[in-house]
Amino acid sequence: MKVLIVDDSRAMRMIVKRTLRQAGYRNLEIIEAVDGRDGLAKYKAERPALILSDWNMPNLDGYGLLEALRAAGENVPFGFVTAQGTPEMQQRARGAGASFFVTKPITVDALRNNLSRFIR
Amino acid sequence: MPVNHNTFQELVGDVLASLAFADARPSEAVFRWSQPGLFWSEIRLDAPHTGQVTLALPRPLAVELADDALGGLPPSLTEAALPDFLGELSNTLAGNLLARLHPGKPIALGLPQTGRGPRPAPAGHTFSFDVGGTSLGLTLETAACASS
Repeated sequence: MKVLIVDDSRAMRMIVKRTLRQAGYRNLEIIEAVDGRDGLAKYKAERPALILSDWNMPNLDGYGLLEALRAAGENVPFGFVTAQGTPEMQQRARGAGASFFVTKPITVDALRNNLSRFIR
Repeated sequence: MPVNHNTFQELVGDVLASLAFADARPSEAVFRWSQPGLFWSEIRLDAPHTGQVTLALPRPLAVELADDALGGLPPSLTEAALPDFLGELSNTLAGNLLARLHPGKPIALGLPQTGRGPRPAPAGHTFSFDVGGTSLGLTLETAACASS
C-alpha cells in the first residue's frame, strides 16, 4: 500500500515514517513530498491510497492541497498531521473532505487510532 | 489571554518529551545567547495574536534530541536534518501554545527559520530549561505574555 507523506520538514517526514513503523505499519510504500504543490504532482504520478499532510507549508499548504484534490474529483483518504490543530481548523478540514486530524507531536496511539480504518 | 508561565513550561516539557523523549525541567539559570556553537530556530506567530517563539540550544544537545527524535540515524544524516528538526520543534511548540491559549480559534504561523552561532537575545521573556544538565532557552515574545 502506498502512503504519501507531505511535509516541508524532512525531519518531520522521518518522524512520521518512524511512528508508522512503531505503530506496526511496516510494509507500506512511503512516498514523500516537500510541499502541497509537490504533493499534488506526486499524487498524480504515484496514486497513493492514503495521504498524510502537514498544514503549514510553503508554495501550497496542506489545506490547498486537499482542496485541489477534491476539486479534481479525487477522493483519496486525506489526513492532516499538524501543529495547528484547533477544533475550528479540524472542522474546516473535515468540511473540505479530510478524513482525520492528528496534532503534533504525533504519537503511536494517535496514528493507529486514525489510520486503522485505512491501513490493513 | 495572558500566558501563564507554568502552563508554558508544562507545554514545553510535554512537547520535548513527546517529540524527542527528553526530560526538560524549568531552570533558574540565565540562558546565554552569546555562547558559541548555539543552534536556534524562530517562528512567527500570526494569529490569533502576533509574536515570535525562539528556541536555542548548544549543538551537542541539538544533535542528541534530533538523534532521539529521528530514531538513531547515522551521524551524517542526523547532522543534515538538524536545522529541519529544530524548525519542526519550534513549529510544534508555537502551534501547541496558540492552541492552548486560544481554544477553538484558527491559528496561523510563519515558517520556521533556523540558524547557528551566537546571537542577540530576542525581545521577550526567555525561559531556561535543564535537559540532562544542558541549558535550553526558549523565548516567547508576544503582547499576550504576562507573568503568573
